[in-house]
Amino acid sequence: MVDIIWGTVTKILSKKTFEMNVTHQKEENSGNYSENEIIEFTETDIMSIPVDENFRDIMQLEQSLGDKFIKCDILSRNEQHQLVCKVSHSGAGGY
Amino acid sequence: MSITCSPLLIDRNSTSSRYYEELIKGKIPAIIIPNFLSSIICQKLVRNIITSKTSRGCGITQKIGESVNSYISKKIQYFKKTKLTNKHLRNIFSDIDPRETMLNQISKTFKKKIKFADENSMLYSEGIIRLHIPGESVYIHRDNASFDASDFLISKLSGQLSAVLHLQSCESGGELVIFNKFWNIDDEKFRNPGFGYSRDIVSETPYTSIRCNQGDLVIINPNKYHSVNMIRGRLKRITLGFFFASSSESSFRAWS
Repeated sequence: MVDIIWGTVTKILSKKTFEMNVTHQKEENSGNYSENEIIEFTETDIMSIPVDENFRDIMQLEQSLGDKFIKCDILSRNEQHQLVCKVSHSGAGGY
Repeated sequence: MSITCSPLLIDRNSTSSRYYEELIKGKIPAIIIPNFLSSIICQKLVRNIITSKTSRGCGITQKIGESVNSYISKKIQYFKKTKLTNKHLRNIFSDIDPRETMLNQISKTFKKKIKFADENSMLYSEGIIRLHIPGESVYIHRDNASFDASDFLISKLSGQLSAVLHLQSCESGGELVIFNKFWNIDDEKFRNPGFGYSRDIVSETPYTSIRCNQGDLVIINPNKYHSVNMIRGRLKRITLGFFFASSSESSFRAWS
């Protein structure tokens, strides 16, 4: 089972990385995660984010991800100590 | 927590564009049209509903109809599923369609035209029936399509309101609780992973409690935090609802 964290996106850093304020963690997580993590995303279900990184821009990512509450399925940590994750919408704030 | 001001009770002939402004600005917690639908009609509709197939949704175990927020990243599936459930809803309401009556009333009350929304010739869900089973409650949440459903066209509409028709009351409990607090983008850190928000978001916030009376039409600003108290007794709390928002100065579009 992969580790999962949830939280809000606080800053877009590049076409594939962002800062995240971690508010929830899966109880069974094996790793330790800080309150603030940098996420490198390899995959996302957010429709407005192009799959191909070359077709993305920062403003578009800010609109799609900025301040959003998201779920990160953690795949690994890279050499820059960033979390490599699959990013998705998490539940809903309402109907 | 203290109780805030009361909902505005109006009759079917009362009209004013001021009502919309007052709900949008949060000056009143809700508008209620008591006995909008007679008990006889409600019971007739409930008989059709309880024998119909239901499905599970985001934050609810039994519903008929779709909700955009259950399909935030699955827009194609939303419209595919909606095509089927809109037919299902039309069958349930084949004799009497309360949605028509609700749309006509909203148009009259707020002095604006209204119809269900579409996108690229595909219809949005024409309402949703929610059946809250005894023991169930609805967690604190707010409804805001502009923020949540940014990939859908209805996110571009402004001033979202919610219309809910109470078709069956539960024996006790099931009150709609409206907190006098609007959602703010900074509140996202209080989100629950599954649905809604942590109770901390409304601690010490004044609220209004609205009983689920059969036949009442209740209109609220769903961008204020709200919840439904636990349903008690043997009967399900059954409602029919949809959202609506301004598409122009003179018209609304509705969806669920």
